[in-house]
Amino acid sequence: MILAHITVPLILYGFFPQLHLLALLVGANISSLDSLPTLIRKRTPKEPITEAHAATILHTLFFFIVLFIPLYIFNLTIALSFMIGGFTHVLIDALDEKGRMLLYPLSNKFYGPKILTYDFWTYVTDKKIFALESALFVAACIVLLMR
Amino acid sequence: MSLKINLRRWGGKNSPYVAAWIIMGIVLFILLVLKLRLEILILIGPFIPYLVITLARIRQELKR
Repeated sequence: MILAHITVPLILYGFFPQLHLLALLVGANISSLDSLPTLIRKRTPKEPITEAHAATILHTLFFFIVLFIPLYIFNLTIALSFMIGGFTHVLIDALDEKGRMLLYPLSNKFYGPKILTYDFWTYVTDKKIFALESALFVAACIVLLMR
Repeated sequence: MSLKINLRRWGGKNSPYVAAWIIMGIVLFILLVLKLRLEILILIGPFIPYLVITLARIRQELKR
């Protein structure tokens, strides 16, 4: 998902204002740093599902559990917000047809309900996905305007 | 095996979607800047090189 990596944490923040907003958003977006190989590729692969993006440790729940420990020493609210943000990213991404390595390091298999398309070009022009992202966008705007 | 996307043709055909995505992104960004103020730099800082690469790629592709 694209905007959902911002809108879903914002909606969560609307329900749980005690969370640290910046840590929530940073946690929810840090996984996207592994998209560099995708950005610098010359051509869109015919089978985008096989590419490196989203197949790194940044797209695992394990990564955020490990980072929780040093952040917890620093500040519990920030650590918890960062971990929840990271979990939303990985779990939202797991909805696509690629799935994500949810059980890493126990298993390198990709898990998920596989209900959304993975390919960017198909994703941005899919009517149902667009409606879902738009609804999340409206909800997030309401949260931001009300708080 | 790879698939070549003609960005100009694809953008023209899907211009309503492209415009809507861009507008939603800009609105969300403005609201976040108003909320987070200077802290927004912590959020977007690591992604600025990515943005530069993306814009350069789009420009390169549209120039063809």
